[in-house]
Amino acid sequence: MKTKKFILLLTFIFTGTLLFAVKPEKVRSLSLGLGLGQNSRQDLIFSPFVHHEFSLLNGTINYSIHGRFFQQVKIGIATFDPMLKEPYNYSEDGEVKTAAPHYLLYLDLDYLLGKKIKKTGKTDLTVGGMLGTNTQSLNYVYGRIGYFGYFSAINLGMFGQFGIPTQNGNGVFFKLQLPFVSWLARSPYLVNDDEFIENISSHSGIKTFFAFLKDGKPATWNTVQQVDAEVKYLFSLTSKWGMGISGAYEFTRASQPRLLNSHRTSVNVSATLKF
Amino acid sequence: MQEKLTSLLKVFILVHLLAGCENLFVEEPANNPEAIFENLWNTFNEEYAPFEERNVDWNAGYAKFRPIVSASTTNDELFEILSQLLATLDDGHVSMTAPGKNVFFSNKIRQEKTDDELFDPVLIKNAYLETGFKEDSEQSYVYGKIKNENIGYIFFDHVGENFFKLNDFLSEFETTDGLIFDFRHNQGGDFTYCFSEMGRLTAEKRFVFRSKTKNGKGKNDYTEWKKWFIAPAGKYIEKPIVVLTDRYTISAGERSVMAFKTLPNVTLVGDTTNGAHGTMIGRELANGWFYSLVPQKVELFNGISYEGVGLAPDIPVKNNFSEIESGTDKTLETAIDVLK
Repeated sequence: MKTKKFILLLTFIFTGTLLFAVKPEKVRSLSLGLGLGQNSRQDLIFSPFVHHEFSLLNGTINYSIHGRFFQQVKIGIATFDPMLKEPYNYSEDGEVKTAAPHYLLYLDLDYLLGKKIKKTGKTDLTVGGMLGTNTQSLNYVYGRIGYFGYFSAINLGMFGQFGIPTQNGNGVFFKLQLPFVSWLARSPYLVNDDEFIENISSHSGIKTFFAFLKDGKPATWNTVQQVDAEVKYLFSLTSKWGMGISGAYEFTRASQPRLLNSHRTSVNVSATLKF
Repeated sequence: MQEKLTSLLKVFILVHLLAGCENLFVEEPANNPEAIFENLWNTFNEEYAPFEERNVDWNAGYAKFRPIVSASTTNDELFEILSQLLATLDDGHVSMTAPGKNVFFSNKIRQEKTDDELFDPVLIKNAYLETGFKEDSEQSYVYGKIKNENIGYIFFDHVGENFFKLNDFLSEFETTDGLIFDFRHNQGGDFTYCFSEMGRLTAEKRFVFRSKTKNGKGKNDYTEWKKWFIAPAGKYIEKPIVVLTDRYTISAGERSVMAFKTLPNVTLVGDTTNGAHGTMIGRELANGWFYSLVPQKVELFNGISYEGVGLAPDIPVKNNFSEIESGTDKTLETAIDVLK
């Protein structure tokens, strides 16, 4: 019953914010960012070790509307293939094989809705609500065997953006996102229990994904902590086109069923189209 | 502009300092021979489930092998010591992988390849199946008609998407006198593929086994028992069935055999299965080595655990090498005789 109420609350708030957000007079921008990522992750479900990795596969797509209200839809994707040591060869039944790295895929989808609440001189402050997902698809490889795992949080929280704008949406911006409540689905305590096996027994990727989500639980700040911070500098090339450089940090910590600590940073260069 | 860039730089530095907060992590096991031994032993102690079923005193293993490990133990020595420790489990699901080494298998049969050559799929295709048999490029399945008999035969190399072929097999051999399911040398996989695809072989829902998985470090920290069933699906086929097994029928292969054992029209022929059917997970060590362990207990529908024991056949038959060399699969011939 608590679960149903939680879902209802999320739906109500999200629908409400969407309806509330439909207002005229806007400047829209679409930007594509690509760059470097760095990840440090310790997930005791899969390993007691911290896995560090740099990656070139790190990107974002941002669609923003600046009007009476600020709205933003952001998709972020990053992949990492960490390994404690360098890949090495071993043999099994006379066949030489190579121990492959783990493979981690991070996928974020965020919707922000806010309003500029303070504008003084050269700075402004925008605050609002956020609805987003923090999904981590995990393939931990242990030499001859590998296992799928997942972390998926559907989050509801707040964001704040402090800006030092110049004109036409350019300037320096610092944004902080803080989810407060989540619907959290994670791999079980030891990777692979009966519930997990039942969830994959449909042999359908989509059904499995929703089965994992269904097995999630409501979580608050005391069991899952997430912080997203971003600083970016935007400047115009023409009246329509702009460029930007941004640095982002994502922190995820969850205590159930086993401790997860994940720190991810990225530096992206982006191209922006304003319309 | 300079002021803005300075602010930007400050925030960048702050963000990267936050990212470098190593003390937020739990302390990692150290990378030295003694710590590696301790880490592996402790992980098994906290996460391995079937110690009792396999009658293994893990503390005795610690007492025997821990004193041999010291700071000066070489990699080769450590691999040997850990292998000996893991060998006490004799578990087909436990293995260890290290650079430049053969994978070590805890199970003696698997490690020494005992009687591995007593099953030969090529012999079956050449000597026992009529031409026109079907298989995929990886030979994950082979099915066809037994020569000069009205009997259908199917071999599954593992349990996975190859079981989607089961329906085709059943449709093609609907009118035969009997069916042979060959699970010899079945490497395992995901038993739910077998369970979901064998609905045509049962007229009623049948309880197969129950399992529970460790969910904490304590000795008695387990999930609730979960019962697994097979259920009718599709057009029912009622025929005498023989299931073939050997010592290399393992894991999901064994769980599939368990499902067949619930059917009243099934006879098991061959050798006892490997006796490793709890789910398996992987772990890594500080020096980059990998190993696997079993965090699950499984009990057959009769309430008995066959972990470490294996599922015994109704009709025990074991091939010998000279027969295989001369082109005879005695186990398969016994199955054919049962179905004639």
